[in-house]
Amino acid sequence: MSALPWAPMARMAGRRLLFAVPVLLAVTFGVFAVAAASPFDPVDAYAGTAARTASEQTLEELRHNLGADRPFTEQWWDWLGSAATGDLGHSTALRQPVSEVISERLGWTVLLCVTAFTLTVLLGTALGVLAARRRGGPADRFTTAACYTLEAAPTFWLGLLAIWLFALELDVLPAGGLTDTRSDAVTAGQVASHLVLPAAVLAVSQLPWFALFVRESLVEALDEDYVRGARARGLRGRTVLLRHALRSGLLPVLTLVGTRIPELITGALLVETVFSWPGIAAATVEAALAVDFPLLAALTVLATAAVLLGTLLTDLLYGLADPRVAFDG
Amino acid sequence: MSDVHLASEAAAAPTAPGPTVLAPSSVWHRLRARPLFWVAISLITLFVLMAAVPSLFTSVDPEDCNLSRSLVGPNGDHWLGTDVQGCDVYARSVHATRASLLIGLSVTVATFLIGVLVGSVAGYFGGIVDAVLSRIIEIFLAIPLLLGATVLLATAANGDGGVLGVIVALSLYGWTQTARIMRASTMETRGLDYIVAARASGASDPRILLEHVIPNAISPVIVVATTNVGLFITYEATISYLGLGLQDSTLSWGQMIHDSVSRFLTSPHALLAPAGFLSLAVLGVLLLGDAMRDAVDPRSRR
Repeated sequence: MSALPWAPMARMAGRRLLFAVPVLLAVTFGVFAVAAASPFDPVDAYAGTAARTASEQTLEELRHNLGADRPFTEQWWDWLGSAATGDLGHSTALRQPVSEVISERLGWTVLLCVTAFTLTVLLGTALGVLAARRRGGPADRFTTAACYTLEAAPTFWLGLLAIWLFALELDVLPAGGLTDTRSDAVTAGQVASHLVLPAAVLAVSQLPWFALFVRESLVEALDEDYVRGARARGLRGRTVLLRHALRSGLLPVLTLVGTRIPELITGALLVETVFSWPGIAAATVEAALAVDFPLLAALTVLATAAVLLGTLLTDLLYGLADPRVAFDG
Repeated sequence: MSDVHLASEAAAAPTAPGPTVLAPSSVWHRLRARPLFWVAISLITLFVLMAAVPSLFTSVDPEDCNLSRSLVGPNGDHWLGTDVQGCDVYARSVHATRASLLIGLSVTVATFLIGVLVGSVAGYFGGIVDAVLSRIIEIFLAIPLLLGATVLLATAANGDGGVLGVIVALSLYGWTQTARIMRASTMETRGLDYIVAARASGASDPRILLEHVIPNAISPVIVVATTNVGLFITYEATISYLGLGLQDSTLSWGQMIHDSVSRFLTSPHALLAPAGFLSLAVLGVLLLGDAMRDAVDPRSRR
């Protein structure tokens, strides 16, 4: 593997990073434009019920202090300026600086997503192999049917079902949160037991796509000449399936993992809300319900950046896996 | 943009959209032979009937509520029990079908029209037009749909909870996949001999696009649009569940789920009923989409 095409890969990454700047600018501009078009008054949110009794002059002063009386393009420009220095503003919903919200919560979301996605890859590969081994057989029909049923079930419903079954009926796992309500300290054991249900639900919600894709890719690989050749040489069915077909069949699937970031973010948003997992995705819902612009703007940028990064990763991996694809995107 | 399909584009169209010419009779023959197609059609017919004429399925008024029978479990009078207000859960689930299907279908039609227009223009004209449109697609694609819709609903719509707000929010962020598939499909169709012949015979660009390119490039988009109906029904339920979508005035499955989620652990029936309706409807649409994909694109046939 010494002949990795470093130079074209670096050029592609460079071009994508350059393109990411205008995209992120456009996205933040969009958030501020939507905020400006909104009938929602940030002063009301800031002052709460006090806004109803306050004099018009006080409200005007408050509006001026918050900068809400200026055109939104100006507000956007100011926000960009302070964001560049690391100051993302103050979250009105969570009553702490936005950068603090992100640094406190991002780690928990990454832990949840990485655990869930590892589970998805392992389970999905196993299911896909089982299904592809005998096309149209009982295992294949079961897997395909199960995948369609799961795809039809919204993620939040899967989460609620899991709570009902494992936390309430069987009482084997905690229903939500990061630790038991009794304990103050965050210990690894506590977190691990609280991670099981949300991670499993997030994994299962991503499973149908992955398993069906592995199955399709394997079915295609099993038709290739080198697999027939391996079979003709008298190799065992298992060896052919796992050593020959899976090796080339899994590659295109793994490279596409990066494009699933939007679905993963959506899934995390729901799973974290259902299980009260203190991650960044659940904060998005809170921010939206409370119309917390500083937090919403920062989180939208964060999500967009994650998606762009995932796409870049996919195209890099794809180019590595298939030398016919040029790094010219 | 290069002519080589990047992996991220292949993901948007896992079945490699090609200029498969949709010959209606052969597609129908292949569809007819699949038992799952008939399961899908039965489910979809059931739910369309339910949306159009709810009185066929229940004679109980969904607004006839009585607090004295709040949260009663399933019984002879109330097949699926009652909710916290004492309303019949089955009757409400039946009447909620209309809003849920209406939103799913409207968003699909809107995203289909936007996607086909943007995708075919980008793919047909190429060059600077394609470059500009592709960048716009990429900007929208980078915003996770649910997040974008959430921001829009929370701010611009200010939580007024109307059907139209939900449709606009979902449509605005949901058209990119359709546009990318249409673009890829148009690019493959554009170079075919009969298009070149039409151009040589002096046909104008709009005419070639409308009469020759779009009809022949559209079949992969139709397949995706079918599946999208189910996807958008789920999205409506999801944003309503989060409390950002439809409000009390409009009855939908997501809204029923939202109302019953806080008492889910003590009276699960009030949530399981609308969630079950939702899953069955989405399953019907997904099965239809799968059957159509196999029928339109024989390469992916099992």
